Amino acid sequence: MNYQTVIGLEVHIQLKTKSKLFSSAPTTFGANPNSQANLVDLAYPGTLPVLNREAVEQAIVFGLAINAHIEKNTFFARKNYFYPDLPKGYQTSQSDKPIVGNGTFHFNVDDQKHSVHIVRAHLEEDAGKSLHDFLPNSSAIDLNRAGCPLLEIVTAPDFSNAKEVVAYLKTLHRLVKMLDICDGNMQEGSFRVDVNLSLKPIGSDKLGTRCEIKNINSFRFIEKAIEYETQRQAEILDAGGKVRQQTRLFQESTGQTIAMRDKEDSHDYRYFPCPDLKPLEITSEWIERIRNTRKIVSIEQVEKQLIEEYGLPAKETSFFLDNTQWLSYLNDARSHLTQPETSSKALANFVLSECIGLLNKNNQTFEDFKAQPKDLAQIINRLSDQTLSSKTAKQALALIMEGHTDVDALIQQHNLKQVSDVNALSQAIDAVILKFPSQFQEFLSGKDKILGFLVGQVMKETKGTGDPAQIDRLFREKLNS
Amino acid sequence: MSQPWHLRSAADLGRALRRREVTSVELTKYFLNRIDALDPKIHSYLVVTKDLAISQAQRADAMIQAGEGTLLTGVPFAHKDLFCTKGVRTTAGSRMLANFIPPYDATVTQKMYDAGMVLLGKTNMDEFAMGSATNHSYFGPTSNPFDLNRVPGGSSGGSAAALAAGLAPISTGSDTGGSIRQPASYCHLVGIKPTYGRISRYGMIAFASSLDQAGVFAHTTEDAALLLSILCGVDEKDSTSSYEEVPDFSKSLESNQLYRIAVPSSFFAALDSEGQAEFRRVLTTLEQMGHTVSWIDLPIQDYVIPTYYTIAPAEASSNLARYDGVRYGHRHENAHTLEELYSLSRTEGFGEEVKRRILMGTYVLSAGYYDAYYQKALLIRQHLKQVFAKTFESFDIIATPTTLSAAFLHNAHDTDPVAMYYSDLCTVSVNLADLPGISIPVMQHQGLPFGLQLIGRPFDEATLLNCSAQIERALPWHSTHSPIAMQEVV
Amino acid sequence: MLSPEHLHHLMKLAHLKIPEHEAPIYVNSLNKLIDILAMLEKVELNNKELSLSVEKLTHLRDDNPILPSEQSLCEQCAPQTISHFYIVPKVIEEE
Repeated sequence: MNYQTVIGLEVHIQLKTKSKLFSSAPTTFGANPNSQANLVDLAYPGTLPVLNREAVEQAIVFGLAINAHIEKNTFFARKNYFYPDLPKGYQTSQSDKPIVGNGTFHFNVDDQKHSVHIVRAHLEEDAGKSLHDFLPNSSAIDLNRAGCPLLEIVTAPDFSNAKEVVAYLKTLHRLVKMLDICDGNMQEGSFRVDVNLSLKPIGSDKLGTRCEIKNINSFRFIEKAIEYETQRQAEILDAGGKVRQQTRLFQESTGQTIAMRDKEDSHDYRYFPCPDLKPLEITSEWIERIRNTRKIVSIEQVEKQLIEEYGLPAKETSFFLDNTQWLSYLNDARSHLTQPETSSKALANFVLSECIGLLNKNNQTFEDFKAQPKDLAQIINRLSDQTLSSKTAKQALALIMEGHTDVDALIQQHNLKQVSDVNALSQAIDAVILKFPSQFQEFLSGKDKILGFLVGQVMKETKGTGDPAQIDRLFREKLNS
Repeated sequence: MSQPWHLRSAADLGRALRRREVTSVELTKYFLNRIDALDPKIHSYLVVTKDLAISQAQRADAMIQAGEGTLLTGVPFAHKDLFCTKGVRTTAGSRMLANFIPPYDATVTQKMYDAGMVLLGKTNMDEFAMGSATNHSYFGPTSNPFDLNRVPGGSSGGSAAALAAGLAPISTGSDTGGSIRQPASYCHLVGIKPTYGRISRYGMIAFASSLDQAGVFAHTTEDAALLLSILCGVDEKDSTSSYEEVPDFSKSLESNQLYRIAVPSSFFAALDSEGQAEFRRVLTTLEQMGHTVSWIDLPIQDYVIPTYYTIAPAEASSNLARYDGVRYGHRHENAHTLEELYSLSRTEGFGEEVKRRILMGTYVLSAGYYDAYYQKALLIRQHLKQVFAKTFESFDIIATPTTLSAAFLHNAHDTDPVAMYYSDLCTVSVNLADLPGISIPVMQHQGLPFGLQLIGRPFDEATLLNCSAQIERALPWHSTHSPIAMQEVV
Repeated sequence: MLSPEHLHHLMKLAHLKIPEHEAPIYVNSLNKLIDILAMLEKVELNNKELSLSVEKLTHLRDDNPILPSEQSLCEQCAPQTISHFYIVPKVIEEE
């Protein structure tokens, strides 16, 4: 029997706030157990929630970026169930009237335009973490993560295969990082994917029973999980059986999905509006203020900018699309270029080839990059006006990466100015001719290829400050004389 | 010949402190002495904070010496055991928190400490504020100082009884459906529940979040006004607290402003003949004072109790889910599974009334019942607010009896706990409509106290306090004392 | 009317384990309450009044993290902690 796979996705992104959704405890990852759980997070008797404005605004930023409906009167609801990582015995989430409503998400699958319907995106607090292997007969609970702000983004069941799913997820991942509302760190759980998958016979309208595969944290595993689950359900249906509605986990070691135990015998969450929080009114003025003060961008917009303003070929935009901190840096540096129309491309290429290259060589990352954007821009400015040669520009880069600043002063101090002066270069050329008489003769007799060697020697002689174009010219003049 | 300290108002004690007639340490020891000797008769205190009280009194004396503080600086108080007090056991009347020592102070607690008031101890209450008689406390019942065979009311019965017995000059309570006003009625006290949102709920152990409100028990209107001014005010830690300006309530007591007073006939009709006669006597006095008294139709009595007993248990069932034996509170020893940990800790930790209300709350929120019960109750609540708002277009105050009779006997409702819910009839609508309400001790039934309730517009506690002060001048109540209060202690 | 089975269902949701011999007391009093609640059905409301709440949230917090300072006090309140973790009987996630 041939089946149509039907997939819907729920992605939980951890919003990039410094404090939690309803408490002021910090959200930093990896702190000592329970050191970032305050009285509110621990659900002490008498404690109460207070909403984080920044979390609300980040949710609205997402809604605006996908042109979704922003709810004017949203509210928080309690989702009641018991679990050790849920201290209050309920999760403060949203049921009706989520902060972000209907929207459409556009993305490409192999250069083909695709879109899916975003049903909703709502705010909710994260649960803590349970460690089940800590002790033989006990589980250990760490509530640092309890209360961290999540935005749950729900799509309609509009996907039909793993390829579409991964393309959507990669685009969404890129977008939330670009909007600066999520750091996208999947290893740390900042971007978690739940896959809802069912099969229906081809041609049928009736959706099959779906299973939810929870908390997959890599794109590769998502593909595998979808493949396995599709196969698993197909086999059940082929054998005439019924798929049981379950929550399943993806087991990385085996590539299989396995059923989870039901946390509650009945999934009756008894949602009701949280009486500790009144409904939140989102006014048009507030939305306008957010539009005007935050970067609400679309990936298409940024990609267009990279192609048109920085002259990057379409295939090379990925780096900046996926690494928004570099994108911000690039834009910042660009603002200090004296002739951005002509040197932006050089700037982008310099970042890609030189800066990233050096960092990679030293096993370093953006966080280790100490060069100031204005200094980097000044290097490009001085390359453009020929003050620096490509070699001395690299030297200047090394200096500003050590934290030095004021490129023009550095050029002076370290003698980085490209020497184009004919007299100065002639002296160096003469010195090289003396050292390498046979090679010079070869050049004079027409062997053009040896010129590179000779120019290189003059560069060495001038300690890299010689203007290679000028040296080349001067040698060629000797041919004519 | 001046009255003994415990028969005087808190403001009087404050004035005596400022005149240096007595020190806070002396006053504190005086009350601690009385508590020691007399509390075993009524069991109003769960814990007496002797050492803390003395050190706070010393600090207060220094404040008074330095000319700092307010009229209540140095005045001792009793604190309902629902408010967290850092380092001092806070039980909410429950086995679940029998050994709980909060790591923080409630905002209300902090405000009283900052004002230089002195904590005598924590008072008994119905478990998790669920009850109307202080007979559902894990630690045993409290008795009414006017008649030890009777209840003091609940859930703030301990705070009311302590005051009525002269074991504190002023005390705090909480009111979700009448838990301050009803005990005030039964114990011959002024009891005020301000508008929802006036006083921070941060640190007040939650029962029903949208109804709970802290409040005051006092001997006089002036005392209630003074303490209310200290406690009211927005708190950034409580999202439901109001930004409404807090006037100095003690300034609103002198004037003899006249009011249009509405009296709902249905509540009057629920009184017996003696009750009606008493109530009429008070209404006549009000008219003689120049106020306009009008009978109105307020046909709400049929649905206020069902609405309250839908919303309150629902919120409670969710608020009490945190008591699971994991991070604090009672934990069943040797639980083998998580399920055992939860269910046994909770079953052992909670008393019958609390379990009943949790189950009821779970029921009205559960799938298939939510729309008919909880959702409907929320809508009725909005309707009720509008009914009151309409009434307040033509009237300034609504007057009702606080309770339909005086305090009942200790085991009167043991066989039918649900029947006891109807003693909240006159008070619950005030919580449901987020209005302020005060009970003043001007009536008697069968020789025992019962109170007149005044209900005001939202945030109009000043009108209630002023009217109460006027009634206090016309019908003074200060010569009535409980037998326990009349007992001197050497 | 509340059946014993329904009571068991509610007990499961609320994680309360009422002993068999006490169950009738609860069923009894809950049924009395349910009778009282029947009155809700009879209240007729005007369609105009169907908004659930008028007051809006006015408390919004600035995003300033504050490191908790009560960790050790909280551990003192806790029934069981090991190496700063709260300890519960082992939870099995897989079926």
